[in-house]
Amino acid sequence: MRCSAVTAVELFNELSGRFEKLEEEVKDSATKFIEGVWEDFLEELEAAFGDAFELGLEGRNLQETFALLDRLVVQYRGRLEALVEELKRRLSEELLRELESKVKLALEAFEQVLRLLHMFYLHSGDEWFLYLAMLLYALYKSRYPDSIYAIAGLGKFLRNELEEAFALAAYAARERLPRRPPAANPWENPKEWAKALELSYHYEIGMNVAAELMREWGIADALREPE
Amino acid sequence: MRSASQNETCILLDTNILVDFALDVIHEQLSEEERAAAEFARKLVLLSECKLLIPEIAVSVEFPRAFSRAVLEHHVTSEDKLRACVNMLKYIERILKVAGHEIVKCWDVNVLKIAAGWYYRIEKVKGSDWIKRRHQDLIILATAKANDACLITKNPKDFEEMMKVVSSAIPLCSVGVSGSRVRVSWLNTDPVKCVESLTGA
Repeated sequence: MRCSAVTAVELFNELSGRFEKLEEEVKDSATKFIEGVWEDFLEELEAAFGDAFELGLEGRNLQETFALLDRLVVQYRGRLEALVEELKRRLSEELLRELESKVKLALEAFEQVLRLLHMFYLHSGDEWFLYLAMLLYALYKSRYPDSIYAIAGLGKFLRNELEEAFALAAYAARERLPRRPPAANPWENPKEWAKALELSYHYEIGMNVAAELMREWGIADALREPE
Repeated sequence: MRSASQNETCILLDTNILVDFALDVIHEQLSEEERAAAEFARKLVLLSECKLLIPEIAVSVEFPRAFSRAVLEHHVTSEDKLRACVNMLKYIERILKVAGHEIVKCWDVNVLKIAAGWYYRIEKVKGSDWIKRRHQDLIILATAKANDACLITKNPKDFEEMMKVVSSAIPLCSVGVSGSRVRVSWLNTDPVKCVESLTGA
């Protein structure tokens, strides 16, 4: 990934003294925002595909979820594309705006949202921020029609089905993950698919944020200097 | 100690590889060699299929010591920064665990017994000052021996000298960098594929 316009250190300094309040607000508003977008998406799917959508995405196990999504992608490719692209746009643009209104920063690229969420994770230790960042990272890297699997992953995330959420998201971004996913299907080995997503995220986003802070705060120098 | 029945070759990280893993490969003014070494370490930990063993002494002693030293020397009193520092160490441990790597004990009877025996023999040959300055390397070498692991390091020279004195043939992988190219060489073992593949060899 390219070098970001706003560095992690600049973000950290800007947020300093306000972290706890912001973390609470962002978690609350992002949850509501994603829930709202997810419900709209389900309604639109039901309206567009009727019987084909059957019981919807919720309440299905991972293999059934993949089977349904595979079928939708094959049968309704053209119609589905508009829905998926609209949802992806809302998540990236509007979530960015939503977060920006909380933190009042010029977040120009979607990657900055990931860095911001990762910083909240490093500051609070709350894994919710890490999980959301990983799912958005997969969405950010995926292309239509694969992005529908990342969107379904957000639905699983809202239901706290984390391993399934990450397996779906990893599948969506599988062609662009630096960590190679396993040969098995995601529903056969969701743990390894989730691992591929998480390690790819740490490679491209998470460790860059942490390493930049370690350098700026003199920790990297201390690590390199013998006692 | 780990079971000897496992088929895969375990790679024990020397502290210098773990330090490279934590370097800022994007913004820091690193030389071409330093950047290549840091990128190699990042790939080894996060992208390779290698089963890595991380000496407890590196994760639980060296890293916290460097963090606390930096906090004191830079007069960090901001609660936000301190919280992030504390959580950053947990984050690194999380990454290692998610990747399937294992933090192995150095404060272990078997490791210490091996190290103490070697220390005595090396002291006789190389002198007290020499081995005193390298006692931590000796513990890492003993950890590799006790775990039947191959030790990967950027500084193989001292390990090779120690092995020569104690007549022990512990598998060793030396990481060398020339320009932006990383090369690995192997001693007492065949090349391990998951490491070789990172060098484009």
